[in-house]
Amino acid sequence: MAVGTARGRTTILGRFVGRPAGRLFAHFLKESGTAAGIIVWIGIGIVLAIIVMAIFAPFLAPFDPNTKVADPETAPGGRFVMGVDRSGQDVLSRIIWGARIPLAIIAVATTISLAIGLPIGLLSGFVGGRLDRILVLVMDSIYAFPGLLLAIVIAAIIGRGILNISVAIAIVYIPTYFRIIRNHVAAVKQEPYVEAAIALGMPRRRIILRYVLPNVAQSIPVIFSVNAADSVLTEAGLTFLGLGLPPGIPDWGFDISLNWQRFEASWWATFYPGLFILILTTALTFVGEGLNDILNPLLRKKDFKAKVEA
Amino acid sequence: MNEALLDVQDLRVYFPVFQGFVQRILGGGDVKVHAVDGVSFSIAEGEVFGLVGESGCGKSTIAKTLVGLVRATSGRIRFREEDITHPGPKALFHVRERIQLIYQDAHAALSPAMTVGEAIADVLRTHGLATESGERVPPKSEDELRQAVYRIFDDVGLRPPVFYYDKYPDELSGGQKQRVVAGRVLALRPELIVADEPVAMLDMSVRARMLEFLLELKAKYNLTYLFITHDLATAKFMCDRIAIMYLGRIVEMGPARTIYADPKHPYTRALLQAIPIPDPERRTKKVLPRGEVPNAIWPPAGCRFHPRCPVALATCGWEGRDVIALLEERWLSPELAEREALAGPVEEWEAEGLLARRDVGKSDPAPVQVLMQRIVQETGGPLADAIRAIRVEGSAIVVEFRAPDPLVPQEVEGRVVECLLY
Amino acid sequence: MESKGLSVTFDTPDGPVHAVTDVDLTIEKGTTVGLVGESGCGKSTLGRAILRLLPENARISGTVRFDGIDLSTRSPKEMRDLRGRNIAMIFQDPMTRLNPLMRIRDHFIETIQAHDPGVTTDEAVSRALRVLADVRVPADRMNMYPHELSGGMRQRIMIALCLLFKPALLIADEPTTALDVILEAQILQLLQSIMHGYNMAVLLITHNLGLVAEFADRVAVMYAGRIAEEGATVPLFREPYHPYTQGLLRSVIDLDTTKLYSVPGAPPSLLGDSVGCPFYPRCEKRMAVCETVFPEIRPVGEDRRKVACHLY
Repeated sequence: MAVGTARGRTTILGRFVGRPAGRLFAHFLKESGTAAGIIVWIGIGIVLAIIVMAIFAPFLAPFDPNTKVADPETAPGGRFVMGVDRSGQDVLSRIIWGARIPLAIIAVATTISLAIGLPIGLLSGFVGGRLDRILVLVMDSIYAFPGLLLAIVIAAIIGRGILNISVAIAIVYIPTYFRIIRNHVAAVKQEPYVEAAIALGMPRRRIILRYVLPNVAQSIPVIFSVNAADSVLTEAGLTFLGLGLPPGIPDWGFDISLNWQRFEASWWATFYPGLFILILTTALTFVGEGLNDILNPLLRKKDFKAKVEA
Repeated sequence: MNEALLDVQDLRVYFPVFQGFVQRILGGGDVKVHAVDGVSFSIAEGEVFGLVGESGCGKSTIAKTLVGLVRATSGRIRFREEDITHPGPKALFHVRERIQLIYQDAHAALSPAMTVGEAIADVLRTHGLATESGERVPPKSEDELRQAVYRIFDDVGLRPPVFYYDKYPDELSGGQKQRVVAGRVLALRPELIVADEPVAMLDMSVRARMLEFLLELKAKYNLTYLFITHDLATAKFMCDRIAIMYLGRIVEMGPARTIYADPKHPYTRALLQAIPIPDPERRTKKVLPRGEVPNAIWPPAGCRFHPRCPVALATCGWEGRDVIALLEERWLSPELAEREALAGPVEEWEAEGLLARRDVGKSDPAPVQVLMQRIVQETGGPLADAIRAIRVEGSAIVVEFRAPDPLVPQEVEGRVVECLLY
Repeated sequence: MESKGLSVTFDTPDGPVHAVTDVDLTIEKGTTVGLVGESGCGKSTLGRAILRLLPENARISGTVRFDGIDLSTRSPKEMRDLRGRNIAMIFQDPMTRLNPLMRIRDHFIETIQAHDPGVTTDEAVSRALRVLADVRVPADRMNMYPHELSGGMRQRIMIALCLLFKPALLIADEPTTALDVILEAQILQLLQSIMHGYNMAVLLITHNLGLVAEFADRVAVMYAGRIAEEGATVPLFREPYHPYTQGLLRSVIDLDTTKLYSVPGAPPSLLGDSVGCPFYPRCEKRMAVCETVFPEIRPVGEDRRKVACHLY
């Protein structure tokens, strides 16, 4: 008892997530050759590339994104690989710099969603009863709203700013984490090994953290990726509508809103931001779906092996 | 004479049945599953007490109630003079250090996300290590904990312990997993172990090994077992005393040797007869009870086995439901069903306790009454004898049964039987 | 039914798993053959291989002849017709084998019309009722859903569904393993009476030696995907030749057991290729040759007994 907790949070985390996560990771590496594995790697690759692009923006972008560098609406070619938008800014530079906001917002939003949705889901699924019913009702209500609409409403209420948008998006996705975790927990709770742990006198907290959570953790990376993919679109939608960002910061959604009316004259200024939104979303979806294909058969295979052996 | 380690008196465990909203309004009353319906027994220290019965008889429910996973509805459970029927959380924690459970499915009893070493270590961390004097102290270091786990692995025959510590459940065989489960339970140094079908999921050729292992553990640690199984052959070998359960009640209980030599209760006899013998030269014609185990929500009246018993008496508990079942079975033959269509169909009959009623509406009830009387006469047997009258009440035919004799456990030739034959 | 050299290999991500290797099995009309073995020995796979009910990653080789016809030459459509009409199969867990969304009568109607499209609903229902009477299931169960019925009743309905077309062969894969002992005896009595009534051959796949002793005319013992011993029931039980059969019979716990016996060790993995006799590591009577050379199955003694062992 004293021995476990004395070591501090990180080790506890490492101990219960570490080993099974390690096995999952090893299996994941093994599965890399399969179609699902390739998809995941492609997805990860693209996401990493975009992250690198965002971090090294000052070095990669040929021009300052907020400065007029050429005649407005110059077609792509020569020094302006992706052309120039209606304000005379280099589209490529705006693309490169524009990666930062979406990535930042996604990172913060999904972290908040996870940090809130996971514990509530765990608690609700395990404890059940009235608390569970109330929470499910609340979460389902939030979930029922179309994501973008809800984000708009929240953003309109809490105001502009990167953190505020992140919070708005986070709230939209908490129910997703909640539902999936809660359902998984409710199922695991019925498993004989949880009952066995109760029979052995384990305190509740321990059961939730050491017996339920590790067996539920496999769903998390998948939800995480798929949610992230969806958040990209929501974020683009918000900034497109002009909600949330202080002006002057490059952002793909925002750029579309600046230029779409001039689509016929300078299609590149709208096309490229849209393309990159698409790429990032798709890449994250690849990661999520691919992980799903890899991790779920693993679970099924373990069950199958056990039944055959018995 | 050994002191009774565990004493159970008139234990009842009922589960509520989930009823739809509409049903609740219409049906009325609380419907319950009578999983355990008045069971009394005691286990002496150091013995192997067998609880034998088919699925649904309540034996697993008793197991879970003893370990505190299920709450007793009424009755009393005493462990060494201490009442543990409804323990508070703290008391429960200590009860679990004395009574523990071994599961049928060892794989399912282990968390797939935890190594087997960790699984045992966790128990030791929660309850502390057992010392010579019987106290429990928290482990002083990770290393001490690990050594304790190694000792347990050694005790259950998983050698070398270092090799097994880091294995996950799906890397082990069925027998090995069962040993891990046993080790985990032993970490608590219990006095009474409830083994719920510990070998049912193992192959025949390895069952013997597990049973020997359980007996070794018993000798080494002075354990007492409550051995739950549906397999009478295994029970005969392992148990000192056994109790045969049917639909929530104990029908026969006593020393194993006595019961096997001369089973008294018809259900016990049926169970013994039904076991397939692996000797083709001894093929016997079996007399099996009719039908299947009824559901535990509405158990039969009187002796629960009476609808299926080949030697039932008129006083065993015949009631309205039984005559309806009779009609149903009779009309399996399409010719009879057609000929006697006047009294049918079966769905039109209703049972209310000792009565069975069929409303004929506007038709003349008299011929139906005559037909029923004939049917009953043709059937004969205890059911017919138990019918007091077949009469007409208004527009309905009513079949009325006599009240059954009260059923009490009797001591017969060294064991206790609950049957009106004695 | 007659199989020669039947083998089934599964292609798994971990490599090829030889679930069944080189099985010659004969079932004569109207007789019962018990296929006995422990978990993982391949008996269920063998049963399914006859009906070609195997998953996609299974590769079958060898021949299976039914009533003279080589089944491997049958098209998928012909196989589908064969299944249920000429060869029927009942499975272990009756709980999950019936469609929970369909009433019992719909199960029957669907099955009948799948094989005989011209049959009207009323005809189908009356055929169903006749078969239900044979398995002693009351007619009013027709309108119920599977979850409203008990396990024993469901298993009887499964049997009834198989009897609709009076198949010549019934493959019963652990039909009573999930059932209690009295129910098991009842179902087996039922099967016995049906067998005589319908002159049906039965392949009873089980791990329960008692069932086989009570029920089967001939017994085939499987180990690690191969037949270890085969012969008429009474002589085989009286005098088993193969060490595994001997070990198996010794380890059975019945009412007369006074001493416990287990076969030491564990069954081998069926993954990848192997040499020698698969029982070698656990065999008390092993010899040097057993490790490297596989003993082909050959006739030994009388009663058409066959054993795969170097001792003979």
